[in-house]
Order: sequence, then structure tokens, then C-alpha cells
Amino acid sequence: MPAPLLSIALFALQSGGANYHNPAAVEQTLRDAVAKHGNRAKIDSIGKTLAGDSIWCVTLTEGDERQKSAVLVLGGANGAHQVGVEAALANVTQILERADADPAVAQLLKEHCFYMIPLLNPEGAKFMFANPKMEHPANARPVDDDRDRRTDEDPPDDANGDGWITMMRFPDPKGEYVIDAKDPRIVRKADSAKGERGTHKLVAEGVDDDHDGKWNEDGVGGVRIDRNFPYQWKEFDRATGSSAVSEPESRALADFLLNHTNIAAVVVYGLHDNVRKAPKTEAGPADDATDTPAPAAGGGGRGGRGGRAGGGGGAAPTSILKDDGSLYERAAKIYKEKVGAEGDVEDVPSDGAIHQWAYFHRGLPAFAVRVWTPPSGTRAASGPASKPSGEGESQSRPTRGPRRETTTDKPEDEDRSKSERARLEWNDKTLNGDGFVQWKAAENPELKAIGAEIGGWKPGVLFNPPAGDLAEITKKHTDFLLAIAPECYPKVVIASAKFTENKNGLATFKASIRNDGKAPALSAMARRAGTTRPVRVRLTVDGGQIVAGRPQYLVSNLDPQDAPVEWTWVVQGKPGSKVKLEVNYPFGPDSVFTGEIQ
Amino acid sequence: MNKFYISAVFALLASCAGAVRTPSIVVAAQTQGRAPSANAHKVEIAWNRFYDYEELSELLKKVAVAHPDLCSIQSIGKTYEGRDMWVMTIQNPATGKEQEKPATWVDGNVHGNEVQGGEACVYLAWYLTENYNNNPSVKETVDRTVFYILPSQNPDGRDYWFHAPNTPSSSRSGKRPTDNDHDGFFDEDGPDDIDGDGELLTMRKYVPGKGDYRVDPDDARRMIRVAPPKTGDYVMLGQEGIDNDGDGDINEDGPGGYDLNRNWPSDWQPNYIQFGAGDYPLSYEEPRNIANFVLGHPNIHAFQSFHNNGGMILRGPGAAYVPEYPRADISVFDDLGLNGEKMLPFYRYMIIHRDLYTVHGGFVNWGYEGLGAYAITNEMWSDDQLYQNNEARRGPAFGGAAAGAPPSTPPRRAPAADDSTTQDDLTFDELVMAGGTFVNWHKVNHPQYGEIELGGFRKMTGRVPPGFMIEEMLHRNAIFVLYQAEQLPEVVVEETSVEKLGDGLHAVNFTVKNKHRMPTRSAIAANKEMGEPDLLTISGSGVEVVAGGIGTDRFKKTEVRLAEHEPGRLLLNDGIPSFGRVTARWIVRGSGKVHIQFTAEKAATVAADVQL
Repeated sequence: MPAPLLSIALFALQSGGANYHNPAAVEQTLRDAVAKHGNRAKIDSIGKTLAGDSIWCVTLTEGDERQKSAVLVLGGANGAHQVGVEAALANVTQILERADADPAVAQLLKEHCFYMIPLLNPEGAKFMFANPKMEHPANARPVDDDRDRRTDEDPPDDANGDGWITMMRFPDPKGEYVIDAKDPRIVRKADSAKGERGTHKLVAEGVDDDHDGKWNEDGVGGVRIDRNFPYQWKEFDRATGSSAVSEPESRALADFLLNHTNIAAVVVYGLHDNVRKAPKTEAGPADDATDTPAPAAGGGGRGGRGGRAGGGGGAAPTSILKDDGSLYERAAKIYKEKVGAEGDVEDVPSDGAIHQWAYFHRGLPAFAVRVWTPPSGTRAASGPASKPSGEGESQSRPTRGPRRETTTDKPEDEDRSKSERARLEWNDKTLNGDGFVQWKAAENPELKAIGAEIGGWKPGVLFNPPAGDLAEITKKHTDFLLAIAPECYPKVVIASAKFTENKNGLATFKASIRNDGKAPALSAMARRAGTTRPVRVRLTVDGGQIVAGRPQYLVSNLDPQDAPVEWTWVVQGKPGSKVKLEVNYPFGPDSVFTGEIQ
Repeated sequence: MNKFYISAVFALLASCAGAVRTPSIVVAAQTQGRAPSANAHKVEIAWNRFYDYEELSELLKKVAVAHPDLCSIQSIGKTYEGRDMWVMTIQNPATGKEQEKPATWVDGNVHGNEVQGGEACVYLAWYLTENYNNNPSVKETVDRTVFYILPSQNPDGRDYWFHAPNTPSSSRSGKRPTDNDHDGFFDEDGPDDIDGDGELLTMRKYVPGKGDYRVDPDDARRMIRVAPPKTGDYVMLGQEGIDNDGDGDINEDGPGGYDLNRNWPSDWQPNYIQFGAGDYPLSYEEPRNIANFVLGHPNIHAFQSFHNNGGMILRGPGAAYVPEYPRADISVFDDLGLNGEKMLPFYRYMIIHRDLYTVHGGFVNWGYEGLGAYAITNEMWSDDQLYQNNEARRGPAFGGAAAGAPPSTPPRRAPAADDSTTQDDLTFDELVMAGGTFVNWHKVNHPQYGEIELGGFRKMTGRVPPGFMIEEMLHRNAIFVLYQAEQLPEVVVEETSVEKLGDGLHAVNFTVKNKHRMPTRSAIAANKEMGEPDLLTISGSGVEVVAGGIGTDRFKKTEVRLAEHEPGRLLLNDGIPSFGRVTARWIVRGSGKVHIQFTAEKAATVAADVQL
């Protein structure tokens, strides 16, 4: 069968449930919100997908956004993770509504800013609103997944015509799976340690379109945007792109972040989570960093061989640096307080993940938020269990459906079966059985011939809560966002500035700066990476000169609890000469002091 | 008034012509009416000087205009400052489609100051086209392969090096403004040509009895460091420049300030690990334009990216933790490198991380590790060539093939003694260049340091050869690229045979052979599953393919690895090895004509028809 046609526009508010928004509805909701709250919101396209769809960003602030510290909020990098889109979208409308009623929120939008990108991967999201509906974590770039010199020739098919791409199981002596004796809905890996032998194959629903003996191994393309960023980017995996930041969605986001140096922190609604439990930290060299980062060696035109050999060397850290740990701990505390989500999120591999790049390469505190998980019955496993999709030469790179996001390749262990049982119980009791398609023999002649049954979880059910729960879940995440944002901002001010001596054209000038915010002027990681610009303190004398002291100091280490950093200058000039102290940093307005030489 | 108008127009025309004027026009005028010499070139280019971006682009276009049957030129995109990045394609359309022929990518000058790769590229284009009709080897390779030639990866940097005061080593960067000193201002304090002589020199200040340098009593141009407790009469103040932004530092944030050869996807590392890497892989316009072109031309199977200097033929890996390359590929690199040493006296075949320094995100690393093509960088020009004898100065090469080590262990060379290079350059300046390459120390006033002295080598010394030695350098490097291209795979049909099996069944045997050094798929491409596998197909309207597979024994044709599905379509991830062959065998039912074809990304398609 040919690839199913995607009929997107018609499914505006249907397949995804009553309140899930398809890409067109996301845009409309944002436009409506901006139209209604024009004084505090504007909407821009930050780039386009390969298919030409715009990626929308709503800026929430009152007036000019420059020199206002900001939090960047992202959703929908993974096409199956619809609840992240809903959370970010609701953040937009709810923050704007609250600002009208709550002076504290209005004040937050006066002094600070939110950049909201609810749907980073509209191409992937469309699959959840198509007929048939399917999970498509990636974008829609054509990729020859099975490397047979044909591209996208064997996608999953809705073989039973129920409108969903689910799973397919069939007896096969080479199969690695068995049907669980206690609950025949569960298909689990055979436990070879117990002498069990596989009896079935488990693949995504569909026929072998290209008759190569593999089922659904090369569907509509796809590079995973949530695995396409440079930190620990995994090469030679067909789902991760030809290079880090190879995709237009990734490039749009990276360039947006790089061009907005007022972004102080990032919140990513997606598969990962580091707010239900604070991440572990490591002591890094940045903890001992001196006041000023080493200037980049060999800047253009610098003397000698101009940084020929280049490089600071070393390796990137793999854990949050110790000095940044407290902010992550505060985030976890606030998340527990405001959202209170239960259970751990399974350990999803984070190669090329957005929040990892934001922190480990750009030095920005980055909070990954899973938003919702189905009941797990166990502490460790709560996400979708095995959902192999395409059958490829290598099971490590299935292209349909969510990757099997587990850290081990162990066969289905007790925990996993237990959590699958818990989810099925939840399906039966809470969802009234609506989340799972009962296994049923296929009628398609080709599939019938191999004894295939079609069934399994409906697309997205294990990622996204029932639509009826969205209102409460998204409201809690708006509470979280409004509470965490102020924790991320430094506020650098002039603590003191005065002449201690000032007569006959010679003056001694003392000044100090202080951080009145809640976050350091630069995170420890930013100091290590040399990304965020230090605080610049500059003294100029109009009509005179500095006779002692440097005209400019750069300060990268300034924490809220630190004592003020102080300098002394001796300046000379005709009486009436203007002395001007300017303090500039990326996360707030300049502070200026002017005085006169007597 | 008319006269003024006419002369103004004339001046305009003359200035336009100036951009394209070369000696050939002069020669043509003088020899009007006479037959040109038998050895005259269609395009005459003076290979004894270097050309700025505009001039170099014009030379490339002249070659293309003179040889329209073999050349075409396209811009693959614009630089940060809006210059076109011109790529010349050399190939013969009469011998097949461009996309189906294996190709060599050649570029130069990724670092703005490393200019001579640009001339080497144009020389290659010029040499191939001028000799196509009279040199059968050239014709053969031009007919069966493709050359993509980009004279400058960094036209902005090239233009800046030619037209702004610079040193032999500055500036490597492109021109996107960059805040190197992290003060929020961009490119606000670059070097300055204080004395206005067009050269960027070294500053020294005379502080009698209070310095740590003195003038060499044997050579007044040379400064010698004095170790305490002795004192000298001078302090050295670094590169010519002033504190433009009043922050107390000099020359701390010049134009650009990054490295376009650290912006490539394979083993890319952020700026805090690899200086100059950019914000993410391919974040700069120039590498992105090149990557788009290269990714769109999967027929590229060899790279040469010219740099200066030091006399090296370099292959990766760029970092010690990157695994050593597969043996089969090393043998290809060894052939190139060791034969290259013969073509390029004073050059040594080396491994980047081991023999030079660590590079993360380099271009040739991407070419091989990311694309599976045989990628090499020549570091053009070694000042050993000044005296045509490096062994007298540094001793013989040690290790490597010369010492009986395996060829995959390139020779290492002893480092030069500390001051020998400078002294040699000074002596050469005096004896061979008539003193023309050194600016003698002279006094100037510096706004921050008061009276100082400036002196040093001019820009076009040290890392580039003197004019009279340029042509030899260009030829030897261009001929090395031709040698690289000659190694590109060429697959031919060695055998097609049909065995009658009875009952309307036939066995069809098909053997293809690779005539050259490079396999159709590098070992790394096969291991990492880069690119598309090669493909062997059989088809015919009157036949059904019952079975098929790749032969596992050259002489026992029935021993095959059977394909489980689609036997008429055999995928070959390993390709055809270096000088090797692959045999396929099919069992077919039916009669009539059968078409057999071999298709590859890196080799021309070959096919055979047989009658059952």
C-alpha cells in the first residue's frame, strides 16, 4: 500500500481529543491571544520547516524586550509529545490572562520577558492529526532508513482501517517476543536467561510495501529535532541528521537563542525531565574560575601566530556543575510544590537533546519537563515500553513511533511487565479501555497469510494525558513557569559610587556593584564555556583622564549573596569635567552614575 | 568639454580592463598577424605573484571562457560580506553525466592568510585544460572523472589579507564580527598600521639598560632575548597597534576572530574546547555553502584542501581519541602520502593529531570521517625550500618508511632549532631577496607608548614562497591532485557469461572489476553505513529472476551469498575493493535479452546486455 495521505486541515480538533491543538489551531490560538493582548504580546516566525511551515514564537513582555532578562519556553520538538505543545500554548494564554488580573504577573512582564515557542516541529505534530493517526517523533525530511537506495518506500499502513497506526504481531521462529501468559495483550521480549525462546515478531502495523522481507522499515523520513543538537550528538544514526543542527527547525531555534543574549534560562517541555528530581552535579574547573574568563586566544589580528593551534582543550562536563546545582534544586522544589507530579520519568537517552545543548554548550540553566506520564506501577519505568516500529537492519534505529527510550537492552524484565500491567489497568479503569486496541487477526490477505494480529496502544496515549486532564495539568505548569522564572534572573546594580577626595582637579572615585537578583550574573557553566558576556564596568572622564586604575573591568563571578565588588580610580581634569561610570550586562538595563571633578 | 567627457570614458574603460588585463593581452598585441608559438597557452597567467580575490576570480573565469567544453563556473553562495564563492566544475560532458562520475573536491585558503592554495586551485584548472589535448594522462582523467574547484573557502579573509595591513600569520579568520574579548563590543580593537606603510610590524621600545631584549650584534635586524640578571636595552611590545577602545588592552579584538576550519560536523567541539569553532557545526555561511554543495554531490570521493605551511601531506584523525582509520583506507592514504612525498620534495606525510596538533571539527576530518571520502590537506611551502636542503639544517627525517617502519607510520621530523628559521629567513632576505622582504627598525610615535620602533618581515614572506618559486610549488601540488584523481575508482565489466541449466533456466555470471586504488566504498563508509551502497541489478522483460547472490569464491561460481528477497537487486555495502572484483550470479527463467547493471555513488555506471 502506498503511504497514507495526510489530511491535516480537516482534523483541527478531532483526532487528538477535544482539546489537543493541531498546528493550524496552535497558530490560531497564538494569534488570537496576541490580538487580544497586543500590549504584552507579539508573534513572529523564527523560521520555516522543509515543507515551508512557519515556526511561531510569541514574545510576552510589556514594551521593548531589549535588556530584559528572559526565559525561553519550548514545546513540540518531538511530534508524539503533544502535551508539551499544550503546556506551552496554555502558558501563553494563561500568563496573558493573569497579567490582566494579577499585578505581580503584570510586573513580571514589565521587567522581564518570555519567549514562547509552543510547536518547534509542526511537521511531526501533523501525524497525530492525520488519517491514519500515528506517532512521528521526527520532522519529515526524506531519509533512506533501510539503505536500499529507495527512500520512504515502506511506511506503516493502517491495515485494519481503524484510523490508527498501532502494532502488529505474528508468529515467527526468528521472533524475539512472546505473548505474556497472564495478560495476552502484553507482548514482551523472551527472557533467554530463563530459557524462554521468542515466538513472535512485533512490528508497526502495515504491509511489506516493497516486498523486501521487512515490515514498515522505511516510512516518511525524519530527523529527530530533540536529538539534533551538538552536545553529545550521535552521528551515523539515521534519525539524528547529517550533522548536529542540520535541520531547519534546529537551526531556527539555535539562531534564535544565539541572537537573544537576554535569554537567561530555558524550559523544554519534551521527553526528558530534570525537575521531578534535581540532577546530580559535579565539581568543575569553573567552580574555581577567577574573576575574568581567559580572553579567547588568538582573536583576529592578535599577535604572533594568531591562535594557530587553538583550543582550550579538555572535554565538556557530563553533569551539572556544582555551583549551578542550587538553581536546579530550587526548580525541583518549585515543581513539586506547583505540579506535584508523581513517579520518576524513565531515563531517556539525551544525545543531542535541546536542554543539554542549552546548558553544556551555551551555559544556560535549562529545565527539561516531561509534563505528564502514565501510571507506571513501578518507580523506574513510566514511559512507553517497547514500541518497536519499523523493522530495520538494526533495532537501534527504528524510525516509526517513539524510540525505545530505555538505557538498557535487557529483555523485558519484571519491572517493565509490571508497568505495562499498570498501564493496562489504567486503560481499563480510567480510559474505559479506549487507549488500547485489542489484538485482532488481520484481514488483509498478505497479513492474514502470516497469521498477523493487529493491536496495541493507540498513537500518543502513553505520552499524552486524556484531553479532559489538560486544563488542570497546563494550569499547574503555568504556576511552575511563573514561579521558576524569577529564580533565573540576576540583577546587577551599582551598590555605591562616590568621590572620597575631590578638589583642585584631582579626585579619588570609588564604586562598587552588587547582584540583587536571585541567580548569578553568569552560571558556572557559562563561565566555563565563555558564552554569557560578563558584566562590563567602564569609567570615562570627559575633559580629563584616569591617572590610576583601569578604564574597564569585566566581572563574571557575581552571585546574589556576594559582597559588592569595589574599585578605586584616581581621575584628573579641569573642575567640571564629567566622570561617568557605566555598568552593562546582558540581563538588564545599564546602570549609570555621573559626577563632576571639583 | 567633449574632450573631458571622452577622456573620462576612456579612463573608465581602462579601469575596467585593468581588472582583467594580463600579460597575454600584451603578447597578443605585439604578435598580431603572426602565428603564436607552438608552446603558447590559450590562457597566459603569470605564476610569479599572488592574486587577490577579484583577480583570482577573473583568472578562473578566463580559464572557463577559454575552455567552455570542459569548464563551467557557478557561485555556491555568498560569504558573510557578500562575495561569491566560485566553484569551477571540470569534466567532459561528452563522456558521460557529471553526477555519475567520481569526483575530486579541491579548495584552498580556508584561512585568510594561507593564500597560495587559491593559486594552486586556479593552476590546477589551468593545467588540466591547457594540457587536455596534448597529454593523454590528463585527458584520460578529465574524461572519466570530475573536478570541483573552489579557489578560496574564505574570500572575505583573502580580501582582508591582501588589502589590509597584515602579517604572514594574520588573519586566519573570516569577517563576521566577533566579540573576542567578551566586552560586548565587536571587532573594536584590531591591529593598526601606525606608520602607514601597509605592513603590520612588531613594536619595540628603547629603554636603555632596563629591557629584556638586545639587538643581535651580528645582525641589527634581529632581537635576542636577555636572561636575567643581565639586562637589555629594549622591551618588545607585540604587534603594531594601539588601544582603540580605551580598555587598557592593545589589539585584543580584531576583525573576525574565529577559525572556519573548526566549524565542520565531525568531532565538532564548542569554542571552550576548540577555539574558533563557531556556535554550532556549519554555523558560518562559508562552510554551510560548501557543505550544501558537497552533500548534493555524493560522487565526490577525494578531497584536497590546500593550506600553508610547513610542507605536509596531512590525513586525520584530528584528535587522539578518534579511532585510527580502518586498515584498508590507511593503505589508500599511505599510497597517496608516500607518493606525494616524491612529488613534493620537503613535504612529509603526517597524521594531524599525532604530528601536527589536535583539530576538532576540521574540514578534511569531515570529508573522511563524516562522508567516507579520501580527504587530504597539503600544507604548502616549507622554508626548507629556501636553500633547497632541509637535511643540512634539521637532519634527516626519522621513523616512517625511510627507517623501515610500516608505511602507515609516517616519518616524523625533528623540530627546528629555536632561532634557525628567523636567521635563515634574514639571511635569505639579504642574499637572495636583496633585502626586500624585511622592513628595518624605524622610529614612530605611539599614542600610548610614546616613541617606539617598528620593524619586521613583510606580509608576503615566511608562509608563502618568494615570487620566483611560486610556479614550482603550484605545479607540484596540482600534479598531486591529479594523482589523487587518478586513484578514483573505475569499474569495468570483466566477465559476462550465461550457463544453460535446462528447463528454461539459465545461470548468468557477471564480474565487475575496479581498475584503481580507491575502492568504490571506503572501509569507513561501509563500517558506518554512510552514503548509499552500490547496486547490482538484472532485468529483462521476458525473464523471471529466481535466485541471485554475490559470489564468495572467484572460481567456484555456484558459491554465492544468496539474497533472501529481490534477488534481481543486490546491494553491495562494501563496494568494489581497491583493484578488486565482485562477481554476481543469478538464476533466471525465460528467454530474450537481459540487462545487467552496476551502479555506485562513487563510480560510473557500467552495464552489459546478454541474450539467453
